[in-house]
Amino acid sequence: MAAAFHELPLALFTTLASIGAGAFITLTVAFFTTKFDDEVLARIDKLALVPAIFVIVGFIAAFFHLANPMAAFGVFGGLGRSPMSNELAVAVLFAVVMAVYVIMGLAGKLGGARKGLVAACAVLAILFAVFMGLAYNLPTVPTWSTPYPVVQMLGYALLGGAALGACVLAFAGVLDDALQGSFKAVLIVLAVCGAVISIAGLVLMHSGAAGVSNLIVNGTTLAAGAQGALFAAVACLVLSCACTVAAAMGKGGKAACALAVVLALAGVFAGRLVFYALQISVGISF
Amino acid sequence: MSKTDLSRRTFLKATGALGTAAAAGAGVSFAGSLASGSAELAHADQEERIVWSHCHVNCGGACVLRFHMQGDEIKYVETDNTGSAEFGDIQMRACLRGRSIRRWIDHPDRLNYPLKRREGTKRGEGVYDQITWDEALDTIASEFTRIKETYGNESIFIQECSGVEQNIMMNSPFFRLFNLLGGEVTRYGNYSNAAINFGSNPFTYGDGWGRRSFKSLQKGQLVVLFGDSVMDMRMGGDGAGYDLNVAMEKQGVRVIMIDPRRNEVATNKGAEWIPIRPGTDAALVAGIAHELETLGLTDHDFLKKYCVGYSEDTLPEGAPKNSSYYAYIMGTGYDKVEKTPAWAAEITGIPEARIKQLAKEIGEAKPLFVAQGWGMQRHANGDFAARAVMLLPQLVGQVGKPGTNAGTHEGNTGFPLPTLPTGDNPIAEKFPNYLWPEAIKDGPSLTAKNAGIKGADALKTSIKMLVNYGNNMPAGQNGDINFTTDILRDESLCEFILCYDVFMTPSAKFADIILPDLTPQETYSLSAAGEMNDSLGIWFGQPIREPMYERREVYEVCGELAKRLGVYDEYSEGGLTREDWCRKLYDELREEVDGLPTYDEGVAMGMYKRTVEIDTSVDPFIQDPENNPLETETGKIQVYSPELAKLADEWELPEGDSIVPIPAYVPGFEGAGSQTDKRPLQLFSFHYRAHTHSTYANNEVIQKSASHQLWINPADAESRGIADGDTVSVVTDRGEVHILAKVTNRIVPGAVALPEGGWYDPTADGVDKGGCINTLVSRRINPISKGTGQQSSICEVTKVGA
Amino acid sequence: MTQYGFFFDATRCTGCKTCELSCKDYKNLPVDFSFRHVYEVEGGGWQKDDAGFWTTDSYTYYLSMSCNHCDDPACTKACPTGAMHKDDNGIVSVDETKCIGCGYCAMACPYDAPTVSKEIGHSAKCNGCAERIAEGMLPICVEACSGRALFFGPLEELPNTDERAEVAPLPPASLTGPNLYLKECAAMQEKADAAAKISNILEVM
Repeated sequence: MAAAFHELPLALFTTLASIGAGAFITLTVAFFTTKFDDEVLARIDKLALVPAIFVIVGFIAAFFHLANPMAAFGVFGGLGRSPMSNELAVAVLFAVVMAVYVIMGLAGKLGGARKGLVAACAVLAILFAVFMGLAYNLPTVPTWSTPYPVVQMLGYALLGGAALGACVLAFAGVLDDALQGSFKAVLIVLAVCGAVISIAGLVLMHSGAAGVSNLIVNGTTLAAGAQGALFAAVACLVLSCACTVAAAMGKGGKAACALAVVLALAGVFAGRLVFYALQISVGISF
Repeated sequence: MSKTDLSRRTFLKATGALGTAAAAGAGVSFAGSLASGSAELAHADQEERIVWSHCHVNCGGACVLRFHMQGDEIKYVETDNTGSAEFGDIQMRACLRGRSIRRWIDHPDRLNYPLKRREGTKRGEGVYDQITWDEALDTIASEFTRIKETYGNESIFIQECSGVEQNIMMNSPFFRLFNLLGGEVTRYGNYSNAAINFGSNPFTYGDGWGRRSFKSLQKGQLVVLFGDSVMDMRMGGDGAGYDLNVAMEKQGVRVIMIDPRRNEVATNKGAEWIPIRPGTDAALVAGIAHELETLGLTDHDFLKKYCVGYSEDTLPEGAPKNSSYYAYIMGTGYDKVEKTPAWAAEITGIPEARIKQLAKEIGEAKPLFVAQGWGMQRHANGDFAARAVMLLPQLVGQVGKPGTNAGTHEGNTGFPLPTLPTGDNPIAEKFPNYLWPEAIKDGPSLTAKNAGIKGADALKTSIKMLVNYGNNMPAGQNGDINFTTDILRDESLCEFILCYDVFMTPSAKFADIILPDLTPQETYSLSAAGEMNDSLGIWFGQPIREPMYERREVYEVCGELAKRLGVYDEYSEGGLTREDWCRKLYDELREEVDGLPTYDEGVAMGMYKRTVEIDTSVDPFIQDPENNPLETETGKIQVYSPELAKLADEWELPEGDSIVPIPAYVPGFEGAGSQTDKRPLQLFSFHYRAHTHSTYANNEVIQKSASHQLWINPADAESRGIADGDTVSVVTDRGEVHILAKVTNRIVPGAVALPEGGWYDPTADGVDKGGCINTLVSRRINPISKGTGQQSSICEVTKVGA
Repeated sequence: MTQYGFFFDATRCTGCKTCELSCKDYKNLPVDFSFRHVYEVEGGGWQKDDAGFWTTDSYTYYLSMSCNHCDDPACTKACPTGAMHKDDNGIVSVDETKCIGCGYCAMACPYDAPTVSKEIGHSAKCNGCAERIAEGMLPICVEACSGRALFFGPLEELPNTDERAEVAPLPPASLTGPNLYLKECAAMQEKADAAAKISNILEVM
């Protein structure tokens, strides 16, 4: 697990960014399935700042992970070639659209652009999650060079996004309204799918690591070291999903939603630690 | 801490806890090191200049260093780049130690000012106050005079100066000065090779006869080495390690390495490793000798013609019946035990079949080159073991001929560069080097018969003044530090201790006055190529910069003392400086050796080297033994030494010790087979690349790449729950050391090894966290040479915190 | 295109680490990291026979390695800024002005060549002593080796380039095309297997 703690800023970034971005998927679903009046929309738009803050704090964490953050504008030099450039390009694209959406919402000027913009946010959020996973697809790191990182990140965005999105609606006082329609079913699907694929991605990666080793690092030993974090991640993700589902069933209200978010944060963060703990090079790595 | 949990961070924590490697670089500003691409910029600078000097800290080598200087700053260091760089050709390339000398010279812990032990503090506490040079010199001069007048010159002793071995100066200025003032008691022998030089060679060959270097190896021949870890010790480009490396590739020689530890001759180089229990080499030789007889491969003609005492009919006059080596191995000797390969197998741990095969290989090899390192002879009864290994090539007639070696240490050569003349010492008394603490404790109790005192029947007085110039013996290299430091702490015994060094070593902390030295690279240093190397060269070391702080070099400082003691004119021959002496002594060499450049030409070149002529001759003694006798009592090679037979009768030995005139296997104090339930493991030390003795052991950058650890076999580690990298406690009857374990197949089961040279660093409870082997070893000495038996100890190892 | 590379004659190496330390001196590297590492690899073990004698089939060998200036480097592919790049002579080096210190090169490299930390402020690794090469000299490590085990130069000038190094602990050479060519010592040829382990982790991490 030592390697994981070395990467705390990255774990924080991927946790906050995936959950924050995922919230816009949930909001998009809400807007497409429920008709809110203007006063309600204004409340939602104000609270949309919360997932945006998640994303921004995540970006700041990533920024400070860099040894030389002052040169950060050069990160797109490897576009197309470097998975990290690609990830950050998608990240910036998402952030820009998200910012436009949130700022316009705060200014009350979304009007007819709302559905289009929020849908763009949702699509980019999914892409962002996928590219966050792809960034770690390094052929020289067999534990990461699998579909699992992408699956995990996508799962986190869906599950965490469902929790955070529902939370925004709950605190805007419109969750019950939204749950009257098909939003309810979609919310449950998002949460359950997110939980299932992220947990599957984690568990499969964890069990697969046992077969990988180099002359310094033994996958079985590393996996054993990460077992506690894995259990914590799975438990939190399952419980977060349960809380979101409960809220979707009309039980627990704000408290259930808030708890779902907290559990999602904890679960995703633990999952990210597991992820970084399982970095095993084909050659020499410590 | 298991291996897989280790990360860069935990490493720093682990070593930081042991105080062996500070996380931050010594004397190196981290920010300035990489961030600015400083290497490139500095190298392009016009003002950079190159100053030639060398590294000489008693590894046996003395490698060339080229300092890239910018003002007073050392930018980096390179080495000999002259002549051909082809494999096989000689460039005196420095090893990792020399290449890291910048951080040692510029280390923040360097001594900068004269220091005086603070009044009211005890020796060893390490509390000092800065004083002026005048006060320091006045104190030394007055203490010298007081002690000389009170106890006589016999009470003054100048310690070996291993840390500044090998230039024309060393610690000679102190001898030169004291000899002008009535002299001092001196030592004979040293820590390195007392047993071979004083316990073996004189009684076998008369001197170091028959030694040849690896350069003389013949195509495809067999080389059998006993613990001769030349590739660990002499790593420079003109060292024995290089010579053997070249011979293994170019001559295709086959090497068998007999050692409790897989040393570097048996790693990539691929020598066959025969693991042996520490200190049992003489038993192996006896088993081989027996098998050679069985196979009919003993060269009886050679033994009859050139040797005495192998067989009954060649015993010298007066030797009792059945005292020959043949009688010894056949079971009719003094112990009545037949020395079959099976017998040897039980003792050495080498399977019987391998011993028999080895005997066959040795018996059939022509030529055969047998050599020994010096670790073996530092075991209990190393005197005998060294003689036994010398016997091995004698048994098959493989000495004194091309491609052979006399079973001694391999040969070396060098220019006979004179050192600063020290004048005549009116005091004839000498004691064996290892016994100086005893000479402090109770000098007169050391006699010719019980302690090998030479020049007198006994020491006249105890040592009352100790000069430690450039050495870390007192609390470093000397065996049983806890015993030694108890003696040093008692100010009623040794009344004045002077230390003169470049660092506050563990030993310096026992001094009353400490003087800050220049390193040899900061002054004029004329030196011949490595003294243990088969190598011809002269290095014209020039000061890399003006002295910094108040550091001063030894010749000048002894001159200042000479002024205070009224002998300056004689001391300095009318005002000669250190540089003048370099010139003068070099000119003396030029009169001896043809074709050398002038001193000024040499300085301009930085170094001068010459190709060594390879010895392929048949030795005159082998050609005609009657007319070219050896310097032994019988004039022959002595398997049986009549001198030793006499000593056996005359000398007083401690309980359990004996002197045998033949090279028998005699397990000594805490030797093989003496293990107990409480102390089930043998403990020995070895020379390690990270430091030369204790010099450079405080240079963190080397220690990071070559970690000072206790080697332990997986079989011994597993049964104790010890994993690689664990901190372990090593305990003997003398002390306790805490050190990181290296769990490795490279050491024989049943024995553990700790590199020598770690800096003694005791906690309040007396646990040494500096990993100094001498915290653990005993004071027992060898019966003939009175040299150290430091290599023989029994111990237990446990995991700390388990 | 010229491609520079290293050749390591393992039959001449005695594990002395002078290559590593001369580099640290010349490049003024901090104590706790190196551009070049000498790996000590051990395998086999000890067995007690019926008669109670220990015998061993163990082996030990050293491998000295820094950056292998690969044909197809994992580090340059991962690098988002292009700071990590191949020069005209095939040397992989870091443009410090471009490097953001994200650490992906270090994650990607299977040879532990680049190091990135806050203190350094960017990725740092062996640049083949490009500044010395430009002046017609050899890298400091090559010139330091007393056993003449290290070579560096254009591939056609190396003793041979028949086999890229992939002995334990190295990954298959096909992954990145390392320009490290090897003359294997006997222990590597006859014994190295999957059970080998790096036995000096404290020294190389």
